[in-house]
Amino acid sequence: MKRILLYGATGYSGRLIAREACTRIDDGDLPGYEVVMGGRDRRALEEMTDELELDHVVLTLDERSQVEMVLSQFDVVLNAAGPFVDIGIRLAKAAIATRCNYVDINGEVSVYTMLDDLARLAEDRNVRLVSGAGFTSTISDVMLRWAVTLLKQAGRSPELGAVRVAVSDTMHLSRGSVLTMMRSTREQVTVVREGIYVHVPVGQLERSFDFGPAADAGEEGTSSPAGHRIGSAANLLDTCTALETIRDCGVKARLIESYIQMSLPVRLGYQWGAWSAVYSSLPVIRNLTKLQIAQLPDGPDEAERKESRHTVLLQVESPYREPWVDWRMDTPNSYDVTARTALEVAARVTDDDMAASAGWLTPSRVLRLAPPLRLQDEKSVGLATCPLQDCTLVSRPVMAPV
Amino acid sequence: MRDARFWSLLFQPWPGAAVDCAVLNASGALYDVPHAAAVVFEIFRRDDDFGTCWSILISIADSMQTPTKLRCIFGVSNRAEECDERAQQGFPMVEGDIRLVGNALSVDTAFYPPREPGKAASLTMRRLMMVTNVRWNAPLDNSVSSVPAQPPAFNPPYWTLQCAPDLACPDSELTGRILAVPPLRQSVERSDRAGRIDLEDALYPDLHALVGRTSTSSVAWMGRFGGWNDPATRKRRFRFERRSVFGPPSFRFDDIEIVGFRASLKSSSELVKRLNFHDAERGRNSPKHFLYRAASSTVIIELLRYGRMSGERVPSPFEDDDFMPQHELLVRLVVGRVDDDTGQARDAALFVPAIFVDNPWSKAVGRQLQGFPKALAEFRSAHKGPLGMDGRPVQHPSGDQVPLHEVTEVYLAGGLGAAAPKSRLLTINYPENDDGSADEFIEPGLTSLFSGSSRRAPWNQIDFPEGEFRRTFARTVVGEQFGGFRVVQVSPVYDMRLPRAWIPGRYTLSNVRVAFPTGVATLRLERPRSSLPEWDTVLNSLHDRPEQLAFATGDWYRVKCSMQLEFDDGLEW
Repeated sequence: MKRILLYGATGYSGRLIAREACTRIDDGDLPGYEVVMGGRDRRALEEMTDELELDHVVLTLDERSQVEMVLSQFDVVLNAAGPFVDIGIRLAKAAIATRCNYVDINGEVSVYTMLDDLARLAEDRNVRLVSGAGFTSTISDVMLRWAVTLLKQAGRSPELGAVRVAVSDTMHLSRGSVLTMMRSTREQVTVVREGIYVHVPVGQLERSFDFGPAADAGEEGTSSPAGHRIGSAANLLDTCTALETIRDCGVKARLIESYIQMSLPVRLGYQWGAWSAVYSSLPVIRNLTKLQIAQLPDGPDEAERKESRHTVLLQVESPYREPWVDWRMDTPNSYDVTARTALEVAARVTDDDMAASAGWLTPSRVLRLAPPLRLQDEKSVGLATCPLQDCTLVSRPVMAPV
Repeated sequence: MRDARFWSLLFQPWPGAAVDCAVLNASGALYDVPHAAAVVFEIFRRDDDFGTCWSILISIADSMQTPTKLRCIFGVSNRAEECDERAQQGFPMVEGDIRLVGNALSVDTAFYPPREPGKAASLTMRRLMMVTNVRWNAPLDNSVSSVPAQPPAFNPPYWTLQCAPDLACPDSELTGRILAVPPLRQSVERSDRAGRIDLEDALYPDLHALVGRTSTSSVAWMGRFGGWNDPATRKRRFRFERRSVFGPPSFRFDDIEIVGFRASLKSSSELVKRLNFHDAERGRNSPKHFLYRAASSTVIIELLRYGRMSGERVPSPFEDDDFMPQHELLVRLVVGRVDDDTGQARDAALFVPAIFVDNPWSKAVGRQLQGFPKALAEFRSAHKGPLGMDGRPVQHPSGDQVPLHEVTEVYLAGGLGAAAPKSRLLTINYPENDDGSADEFIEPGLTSLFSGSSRRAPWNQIDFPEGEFRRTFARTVVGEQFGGFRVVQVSPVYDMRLPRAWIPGRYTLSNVRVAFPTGVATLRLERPRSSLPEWDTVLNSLHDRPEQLAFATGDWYRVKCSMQLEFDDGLEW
């Protein structure tokens, strides 16, 4: 029996992952795995144990020896607790020390680049580290691996021009997501140029993306075709996972950027937030902001999640700017997707055939999903494979036929 | 190579033989000394253009008559180069002065003599053993065939442990692998004469515990020595807890005297190249997105004398006050880690690209466990000649300690002893009116920093002109330089097939007193006759001609202090 410790099980995302685990165990979809909930709040954990019938362990991250003792009893720790800059680093180091695999749903670029410093140590200890196993990075990462695999099969150049990921906006955010967004507005936007991370100012990169027929038309201006929306480059983890996957596939990309669809007021607010970052990082203002955020609900309820679906776009260009891939993935709500992908990555990272792949891994490398269509296909494919069930991949015509 | 021979003397182990063999690497911790069938003293002699190279390897064997493997627990050679080559293969080796005195082979080296009542034990250079009753020039069969008819009767390989600090926990764990290193023994014949070993009393390494004070060999072999064959790996890399004679990786340095010179660099990329070993690695998990860079175009050349270097919580037979002294010449510069994405440097640390010591144990341990590329050196006074590790003249070991300001010459030493080849590295000329005794030592602080000269510290804010290293980075360096500093080195120093690791640590200074002498001091840096890449890189990187570096008042300083050194655990929170 392989044991998964779900740390942060009492948080919003953690609860969803715990419920997902409970459902899958009840359905017999997670054979050979035991999921144990972990966290700091004993009472909340006990209530969840009563509800879900999953064991729990109370674990504060104050003492390294205690954490290492607990992790030594597990095959993988799935970290859903933020802030990842504190908890993620501690858990990852303790995991390496005890040869326990580590998976998280981190969404912060700065934390990702801190965690990847541990890659060599993890490889040396035969431990697997996966950061960003939630929405959207897992979806875009899987799409990118499919695209690169198909391009390589088609004999395309080992060098890609641009890789762009765009994500539709979201109305309902959890408290943790809002905190992450607040932090990211204080940073510049991370993009990749010639394989190296560089920063560009917020608002400098904006593009129009076709988010498909589900979106409303014409909001941005009369000339915009239906479904086209402005995306502003944002500090998404997708940029980092894309770079890792590109490298892992043995190709290069001149440019990697990630965008979030934003309406005009949101874009203005985003740029204002970046401009005022100096002031908003003052302790007084930061604490006031935190107090305000603490008043928010944990996250969207089930009904809100059901009515809110998302779209992830992947565009891959040739070195000469020919469009090679233009895919759109329509997904269920981001938190539901996160619960599925994170749990699936945590389960698969312990697979025997992952034994030769120690160190720093992207979600797509762990999931190893086969492309559901061919490069030249122009069609919509409904996906049924876990964790992408209820997702639809739409391949759209590109200018130059492949 | 003109003539090369070996003599293998096999002794009955002393009843209840036991010695903590964790001498210079952790290999001893893996050896089962009490169950050894024989103790082997194997002596190798090789004559070449530079004289005679002697090596003595003391090992335990699994059989008296037909040993199949030897495990070396301590080795001495009179050639630094030989020590380095064997240490690279996992032999615990130190330099010594080995020479024939009449028909006896005398071995002087650094070791801890017995503790005198009420006094701490101190690493001292003196005679450790004599080997007698060996026919050093016995005629040997010259008909060495390229395809011997049958293997030599005595030809066991050495099993050594090649090890280096662990990637993740360099402070507490080592990673290593066992090698079988076969010496090429030819024309092997059994000697009819039993060799005799006379050992001096020693607190450490206590070789008495192996074979007794005086011992005659039970079996003796001799023959021609054809060099060392390439080692074979016997086992996959494994990890084990670090144990060494120095105990936990925490060191205390007292009675430190330093004289430092601030020199300008014209380029620094080559100096820090060693820190950026990861840039050449192509593995999926190789560190990416950052490089170490020199933060300043100022490099510090320092001459140091450590009065007492001790380990913290040292294991038996040591006590906390036991110590070793040494002189040191080092070059250090401030480096920072510059991330691709932020372009801002962090993790300010000192990096030592070249370092010379006169203490062979410090050299061995520094290279193996701390990533310092130490080379053996001899420190001399113009008037009193070569100095011992404790600063006393070699010619008058019981005389007074020569003050540090009288140490004006440093030589690269090819070994220990008068016969070892030496070539000059450094000559210091102090101002005529400076005799070092009139310096006014003051405690560093704002008063000292703002009084008198514009230069009142090893580093100043203006030494960090590049954008990446301004602000918080420079403030950290300038603010902490007399309170302590972080260090980062790379291990293994030797070219081994073991993963390289950064060894981060921290020096904490106490009782610091600083003096800024007046006048112009000059340094003359020279290239040694033998190749020394680290030193060559330093000389090539200097802005001014290394043959004549001049340092005005404020660009050189004297410091007295105590220090503590601790290494970091890479998995520490």
